[in-house]
Amino acid sequence: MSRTDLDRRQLMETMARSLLGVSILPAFGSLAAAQATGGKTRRLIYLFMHGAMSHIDTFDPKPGTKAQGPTKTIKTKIPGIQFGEYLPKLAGMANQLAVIRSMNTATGAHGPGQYLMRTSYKQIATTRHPGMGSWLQKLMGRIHPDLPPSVQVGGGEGPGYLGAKFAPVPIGDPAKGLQNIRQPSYLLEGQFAQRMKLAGKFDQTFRSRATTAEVLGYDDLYREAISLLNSKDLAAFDITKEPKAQQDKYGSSRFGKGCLLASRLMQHGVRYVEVTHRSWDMHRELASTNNLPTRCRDLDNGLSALLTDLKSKGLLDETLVVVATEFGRKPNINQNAGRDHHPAAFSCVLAGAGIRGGQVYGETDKEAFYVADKDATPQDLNATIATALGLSIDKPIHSPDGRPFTIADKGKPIKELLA
Amino acid sequence: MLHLRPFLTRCCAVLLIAALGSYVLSAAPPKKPVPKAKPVLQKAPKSKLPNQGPPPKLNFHIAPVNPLIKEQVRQSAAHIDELIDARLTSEGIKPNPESTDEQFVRRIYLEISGTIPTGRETFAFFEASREDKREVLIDHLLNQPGYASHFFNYWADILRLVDKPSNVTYLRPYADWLKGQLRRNAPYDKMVHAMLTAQGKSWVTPAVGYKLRDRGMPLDNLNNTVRVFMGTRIGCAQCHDHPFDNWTQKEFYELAAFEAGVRTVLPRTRFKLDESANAQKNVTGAVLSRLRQLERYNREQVFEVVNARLKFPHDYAYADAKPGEIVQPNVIFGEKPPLSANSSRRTAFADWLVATENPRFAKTIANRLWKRAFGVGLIEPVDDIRDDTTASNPELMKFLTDEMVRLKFNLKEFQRIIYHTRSYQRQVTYTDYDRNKPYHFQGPVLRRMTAEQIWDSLLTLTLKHTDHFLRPSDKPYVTAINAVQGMTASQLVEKANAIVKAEGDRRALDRKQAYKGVTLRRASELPQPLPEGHFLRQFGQSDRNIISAGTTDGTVPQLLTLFNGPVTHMMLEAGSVINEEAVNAQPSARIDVIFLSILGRRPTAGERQIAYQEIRDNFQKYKDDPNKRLAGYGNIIWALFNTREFLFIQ
Repeated sequence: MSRTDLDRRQLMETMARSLLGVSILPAFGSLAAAQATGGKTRRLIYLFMHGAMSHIDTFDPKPGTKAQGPTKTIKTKIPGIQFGEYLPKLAGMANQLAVIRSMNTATGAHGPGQYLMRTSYKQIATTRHPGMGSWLQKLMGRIHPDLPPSVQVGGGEGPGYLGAKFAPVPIGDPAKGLQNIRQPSYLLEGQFAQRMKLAGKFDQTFRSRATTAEVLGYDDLYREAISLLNSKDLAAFDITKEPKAQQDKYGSSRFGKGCLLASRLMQHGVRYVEVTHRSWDMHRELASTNNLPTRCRDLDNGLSALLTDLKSKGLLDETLVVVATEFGRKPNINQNAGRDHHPAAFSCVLAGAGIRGGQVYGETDKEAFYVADKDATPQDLNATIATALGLSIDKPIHSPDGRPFTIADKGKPIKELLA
Repeated sequence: MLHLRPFLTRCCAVLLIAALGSYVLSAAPPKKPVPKAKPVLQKAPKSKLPNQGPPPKLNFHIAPVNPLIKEQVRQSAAHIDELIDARLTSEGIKPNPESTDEQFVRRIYLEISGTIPTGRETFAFFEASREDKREVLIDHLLNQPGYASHFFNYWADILRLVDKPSNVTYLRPYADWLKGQLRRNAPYDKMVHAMLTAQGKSWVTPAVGYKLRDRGMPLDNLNNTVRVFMGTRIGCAQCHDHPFDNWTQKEFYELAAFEAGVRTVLPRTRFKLDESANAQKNVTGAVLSRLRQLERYNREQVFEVVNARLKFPHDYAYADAKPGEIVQPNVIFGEKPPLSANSSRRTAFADWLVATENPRFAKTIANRLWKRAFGVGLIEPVDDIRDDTTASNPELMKFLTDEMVRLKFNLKEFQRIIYHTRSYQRQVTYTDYDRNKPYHFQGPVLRRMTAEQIWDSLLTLTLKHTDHFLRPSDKPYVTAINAVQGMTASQLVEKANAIVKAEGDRRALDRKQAYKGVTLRRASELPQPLPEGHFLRQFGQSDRNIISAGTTDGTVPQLLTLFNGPVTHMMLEAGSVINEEAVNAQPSARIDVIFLSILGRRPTAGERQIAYQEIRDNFQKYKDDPNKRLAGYGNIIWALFNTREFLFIQ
């Protein structure tokens, strides 16, 4: 540890102690624990196509049928496999991708569909299930001691019954990065630390009286916030630090910037990044320029640049990249030139760590209406993700009310997809 | 005599008696004199804060509580207390002690008005000597604009209020209507009935917003209706028999058949802007895109096709009906309302739903409001009542349901009774309770403030008259989007131009009320919902996709905002309420003023000592720099704001 590192640590320690009356060390204890369980460095980038991505127009086209509608198809690197015409870059690197064409689910409403995909469970009134980021945080711990283990760009599912401690850090605008990490300019030397110290003292009366988990949970939150503020790797959140050419590769869309941020965060040791890409809810004029073509272009640029970058940095072996969505869209074009909700069949894509690329798994019937072969559920997808990351899918964790849950509910990993 | 005018307008006179003289507090004087200096806490000479002038007049009326039924309120409250105490005794649980005045005043302001009290309001309450000052304060707050503002946030979360659910659906009028209903305390059954039966455009009959919110998804809307207003989940039965409850898919369809005629888009045969295509040739940019949306905007209307019939879905799999067969309407509880061939079925459905005979309508709202006050419902979750559900205190649940009916769904009087109970006025439970077991209401549970309460409290610390700064009227916008058939191309272009202008004007008005780019109005007076990165969303405001999705979980980014965010620093600006109060108070009272303003209590002796030390240290350290030597005050304000005690409601 360098001299400045030591100073930084010391300052952090002092601040935490004075604010909380507890040492900051436990946070590092959990790091040690994570490393002890095999030093796993595997991580996950989860790209969520919010609003339901049309499978026919992207990864499961049906050329020559009425279902294909206005979107043309193009060849890919996998012989005999085609994609929709707006994904040329991904088509060119399809040998790295594993496409599941036989996804299906029972719910055709966005909220419940997204919830099921992200949590493996149906939304019920009696509990709130954690999303994948919180699961990873719980089961794998952090890689970097100060940076948050999981980050969600543009939305996602919260920590549910795991509690705020396992909440992914949300980022609204990837271009702005993490907000409020700089102290106001008017602060004098040492004033921030002094304020923290005072807050700790003034909070003592209440803290000695209130002992609910919610109140105590703030100990961890304060600890993490202070570690983060003092981290020398905070710049991971700043995508403007990337060279211009690099930024251009990802495209100017919010999703593209989100992918760039995901790449940076992975390089700095964040365990989980989710980037939400909205909106794919194309009930009207699907083919108009700012609808499907734009959404696809953003995905094509963002994901292709992301995979290329991870590979060149040697991180793709450790990083699993997933493209998911809540359901598909109807094979028939509706009266408004759009496609409506279609839970009976849709596509998802995996690449990177633990995945055998260059394959298509499952198929739909000739109009892409029903799954014709190798049916795959959201739980199966999540079981595959967990297995690729080296996690046990049978190991239950218990919610505070004592109910057992597993990361993929009763899903079965798709062996053919795993490397 | 400092700023007494705003104080007088906000606080009822009876509580003022002791406070009228001045804002001098009876704090023990410090041993060493607190330094006197130029009254500047931060160096900014002129306030950067918006809304500094005299407040605009309120253009609405708040329906007051009925002063004549006070005795009845007390009796009902006493009966609730008896039922709770009987249960506590039989369970062998000790009730929590009565709350202190400090705990009570802060809690009741947050509960009813949605914000912490100002230091002055707190002080006035402490100094008031009437026996019944708690009751007086409850009634006073129920009569203030804050009541409707805060209650609106509650409903906005449940009803998933969104100003523009799509770029051709405009539902702000619906939100405004709902706020108006709460201000004039419209009977809840009438309000719900209107939402289920209104017809027309949102800006003409705003209650149609309830249906337009779920436009094109009538079955989902029905699920929501049954869940929100009857506390019952039949959603699973939309696709198959309910796995845990006893609803069958057939029953779901039978209920849905009542609303089978409800339409949310007027067909082009009934509304068309023929000249729109011509008009579009002459314009570009924003004007063109508004023009394109104009027809669709005006077609977003609710109407009923009275003779439309619902059929069972093509994949209907049970033996009790055939796919494609016409569904006969039937209800899931109670008596089926009479129907004739051409009568409105949706009206019959609404009549049935809000009727006092409906066993779950009154019960659900009574249980919801009970939970709102105590933090836990008598039935949990509040929207998953089943046939075998038993309330944690069945006698109390029955009494509350009967009270709701007796009060003819007067939600304000109902909540007034709850706040009058001794049980509500007990201290909160400071430890965790077992969520798998019934909670017996030894006191309310300890809760963090909602996002809206934190935001509104910040405003209270910063700006005066926060209840007076309302969302600018959308009248110019509504006038602009309202089109009629037969309009000429040039009239249509004029409309589109007017829309763009109205949007620009609205943004300009918002900017005028902004501090560092953030518009400072109460949460209920901001766009619904706020964009993802906004303070309110960060602290847990719902994105309005899912019913009651607002959360009070803490997160690291929230703390970063409290540490470093611009919005949390606005209270340190010159001209902020707390800054001025502290500056203008006698030096010996400043620390008390700061504590009263932020935490709603005086400092303990130890805290006062720490605070004096802080002030003295800074004064010594920067004694030659008038801009810095009072930094201690700013540090204390910041520190108190960053305590858990601030965030939690005791």
